[in-house]
Amino acid sequence: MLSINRLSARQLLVRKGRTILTGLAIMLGVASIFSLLIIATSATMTLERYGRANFGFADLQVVPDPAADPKQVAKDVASLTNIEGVAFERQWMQRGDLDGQRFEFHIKGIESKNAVASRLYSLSSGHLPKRDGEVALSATFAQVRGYQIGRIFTLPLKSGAKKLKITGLINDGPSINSVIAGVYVDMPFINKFGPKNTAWNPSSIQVVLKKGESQRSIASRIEKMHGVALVITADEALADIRRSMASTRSMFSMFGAVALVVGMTLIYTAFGITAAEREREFGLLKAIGANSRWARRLVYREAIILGLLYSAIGLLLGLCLSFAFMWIMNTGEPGNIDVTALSITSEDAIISFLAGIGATLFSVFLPARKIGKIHPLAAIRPQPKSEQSISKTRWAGLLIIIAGITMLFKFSIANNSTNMAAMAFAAVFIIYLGVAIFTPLIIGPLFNLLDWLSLKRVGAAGKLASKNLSAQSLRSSRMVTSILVGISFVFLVAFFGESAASIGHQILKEQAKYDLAITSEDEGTLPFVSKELLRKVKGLKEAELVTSIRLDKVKVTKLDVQGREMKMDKGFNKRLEQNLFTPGINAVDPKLYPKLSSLFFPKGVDGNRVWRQLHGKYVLANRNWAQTLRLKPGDRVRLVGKGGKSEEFEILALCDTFLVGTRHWEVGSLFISQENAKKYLNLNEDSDMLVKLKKGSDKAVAIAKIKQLIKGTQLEVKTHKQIADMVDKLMAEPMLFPSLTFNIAVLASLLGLINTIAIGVLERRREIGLIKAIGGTRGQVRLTIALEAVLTSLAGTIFGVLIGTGIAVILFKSISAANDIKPTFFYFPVIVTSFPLMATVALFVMVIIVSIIGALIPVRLANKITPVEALRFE
Amino acid sequence: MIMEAIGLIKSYGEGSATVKALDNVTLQIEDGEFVAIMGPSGSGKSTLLHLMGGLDSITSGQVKVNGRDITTLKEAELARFRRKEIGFIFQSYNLVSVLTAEENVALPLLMDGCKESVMRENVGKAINLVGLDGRSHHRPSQLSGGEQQRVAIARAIVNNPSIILADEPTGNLDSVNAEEIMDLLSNLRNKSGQAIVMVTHDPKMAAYADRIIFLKDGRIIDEERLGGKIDQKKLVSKLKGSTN
Repeated sequence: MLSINRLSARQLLVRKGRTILTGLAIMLGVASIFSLLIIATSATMTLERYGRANFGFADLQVVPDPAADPKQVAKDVASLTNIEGVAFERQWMQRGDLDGQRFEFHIKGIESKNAVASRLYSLSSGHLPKRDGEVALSATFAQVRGYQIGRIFTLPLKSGAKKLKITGLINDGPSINSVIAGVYVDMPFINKFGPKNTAWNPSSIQVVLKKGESQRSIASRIEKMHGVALVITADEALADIRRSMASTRSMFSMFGAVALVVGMTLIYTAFGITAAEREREFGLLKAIGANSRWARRLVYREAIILGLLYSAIGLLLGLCLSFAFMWIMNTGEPGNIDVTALSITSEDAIISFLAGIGATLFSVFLPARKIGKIHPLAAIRPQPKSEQSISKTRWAGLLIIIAGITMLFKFSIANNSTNMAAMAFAAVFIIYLGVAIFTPLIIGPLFNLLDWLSLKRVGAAGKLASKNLSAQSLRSSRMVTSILVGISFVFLVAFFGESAASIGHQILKEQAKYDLAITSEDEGTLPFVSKELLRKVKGLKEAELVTSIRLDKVKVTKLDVQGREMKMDKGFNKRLEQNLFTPGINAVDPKLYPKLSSLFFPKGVDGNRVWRQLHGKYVLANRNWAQTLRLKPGDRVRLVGKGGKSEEFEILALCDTFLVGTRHWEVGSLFISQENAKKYLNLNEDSDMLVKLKKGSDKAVAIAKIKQLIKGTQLEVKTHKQIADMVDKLMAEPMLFPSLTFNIAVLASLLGLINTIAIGVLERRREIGLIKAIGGTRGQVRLTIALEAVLTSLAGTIFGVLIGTGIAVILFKSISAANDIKPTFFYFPVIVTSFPLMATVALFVMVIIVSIIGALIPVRLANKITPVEALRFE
Repeated sequence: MIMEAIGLIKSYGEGSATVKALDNVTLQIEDGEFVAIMGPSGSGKSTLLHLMGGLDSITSGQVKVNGRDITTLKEAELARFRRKEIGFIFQSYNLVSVLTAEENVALPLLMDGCKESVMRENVGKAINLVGLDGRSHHRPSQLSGGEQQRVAIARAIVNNPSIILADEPTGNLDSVNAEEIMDLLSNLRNKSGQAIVMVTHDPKMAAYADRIIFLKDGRIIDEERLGGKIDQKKLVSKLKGSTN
């Protein structure tokens, strides 16, 4: 027998095309949320596993001061009561190829003789390396690569491959599908082949407490000891990971929510049109006894069936997307977000599934109300429709937009970090709400303007398309709004990315006074440039100018900021604190360095004067670092160098820089003259070189000669272009997730556009038939429909780009206004806003192509309409 | 002779389920002639009009307009033919709701790629002819039934077609408006000399024609030349005859 469910299902089946298109909107929304949640959960789990593996069975990790002797610190810590044992570990990260695949090797030097050390590592078989030439590997890495105990493992070091005998396998967390491999060697190996500069690889002291001791209270005691920079408890480390990933998770959820909101607009539009199209049918149901509630129930049932079905399909698609995300992340270089295996939790699935169904039901609320109000007489004759008038109350949308902008500007800067992001997102959504309310007021006039223009140029098709769009301004504006939301988010990401990349390139361009950089791409593996090597490179006949840079870490112990003592927030992320207070320092030759590379000074600062004065007791501070610590030119900082040697310096000027290699901006937090570095901080080891070649000299020959000179060292020679490519690569990854998600939102909105236009064609069968009857050609009808699709999506794209630009500029200004801190896009300071021209062109081209392809479906429907249909309704 | 239908057959379905909507219909329409087609529902009146206007495909037979067989025309040529040679008027006006009266009238010219100045002139003339000056910027929903049908007539004549095909043009109108529309059509024919073929049920409206063709079961069963005289009684009895 017929039931309400069956009736609803049948309605959906009868309108297969529309059902599928509406369902796709739900599906893409759910898929976006689910895949992003999976990635966030997986990244959290991966990090947690790394975190646990990093700690092993230790309770505390003590990081000594760069200036202190780590062995002495370890001895001091071990002397404390409550401590069962202390182990010393030196970690060193290096990238290398195995059978053509690039790996990031986490090489750990351990003291296997120490009884505690053997208990710190969870051996799955064998034993820890006891002597030079032995190695223990990550069990999962060994399993994937087929390594077994007793066999030889070749570690591809820059200084040459090293053959090591495998003695044990260690359960140190995940590495399946990963490019990260744990390699455990005996300490002498690290001392022999590891980086000379230990400041970049602070030894870590693993501490095992006696049973029943509180991690935090012992940590606080150790923190007060001399030579200790940082103490992290195992619990705090895991909590830190969870906390930092929670904001990533919220951000990812918000990205997914954008896709879902776009989907909701489409579901709303589709059901709204259904209400208009099925007026007669619902009138009939009313005429034969259905009440408003029953009619609404029928619509809700349809929504539930649609929501259930497509949310389920969305979950499957989400799974596929997350596999794709993981595959992209694990292809090539190790990335910022590590996911070694997908963690698919029922919680994420339920959240996504419910979000899909909830969004569907929410979207049909208004159409269902409208359907409930259909008059029974609609069954007999079409009900008179008043001209579609746009309520003047929609001007209130402008007020909402202004409120959103104010919120974005005022409140987002009043809060910090996660709160700020959440407030900014909330403000952006308020702006979109205002835009959605306000758009119908401008859409009509806009398409009327197009009508006026197209009358002369595109002929009948242009006229009909623009007239249809302006007459249906509510529907058109809904479509435009859904497209503009997706587009503006894509654009927002592109805008920030472009601004950041442009400054990266701008700085690189400034630095491009050199032709070649001799450096190392590995983070934390500072190579050592000997005086001999420097002399040899200088002696090359191709070389015109050569300078070396001394990169090192110093400790900032005293900050006198305009007479006030700087106090850090207790809850401040400890690792960030560590980075801020042990910044990287660049010791440069003030005479040669500006000739080969330069820094980016704010307007009004005379660079030449700055370089001349640097011989004095001055430092230059990276603007980002300085502003994070609220430091200004004229402030004094006390720097502690090697062996505890320290001196006070005045900040001469702020500068922006992007350093060679992939090292983070913290590396270039301070610039000092080489003379002062040696004299006051005991820093005298050079690490990088910049080379300017003589005019007309052969770059390839110079590279070959330099390669020969640096053979057997950690150094690599890179051209300026290679470094610029690296910047692009670095920029691309953080933009991948938001870009992909927002592109999905754009795709969903374009699907909705096709849906709406297809429904419009069905609604206008008679009109299209008439056009053909009075002499309109197929081509003219096709062009009309294609133009409707293209004009709507173009309007959405134009508004999206405008709103995206507006939001980006406001965000930029608002963040800049707050405490003078310029926004950063990952490692890049966004100093200037830069319009992403290429991305915009690509966006427009993509939108036009997709809307033309999408219009094929409604065009096919229109083609099928014969002129006789215009008369069949007589 | 402006139009000629020769042995027109239109059938639907296949095999034993075949239904002949028109069965070997032959007729001629002279230049400037006003012909009414009458007949009961399902007699094939509208189908005949559709075939004469090139709206529907013919099972067999020929339709010649100005000596040109339109059954051989391709789709694009047929569209051009309808645009240039035919003016359609429908019972329910069939105006494009989103366009104003003036824009509806301009539609065939617009589709023909007409220059804007020419378009304005022709549209103005057509609107003036149907007496809709002052209402040209109104949308269909703002016009009465009679006014909407005037717009439809203006649209039908704006391209100065050879023949106007009207399908129950007064079917949705009250008697006062219906007579006004018929007077308008009649005057237009007298002024421009265009032939009119009109399908109608109403003998009063048919009385405006020069000739009435009676159709039953897809065949022409009778023909009456009115010669300017209106004998309504005779017409009604003929119509009854065709209905019975």
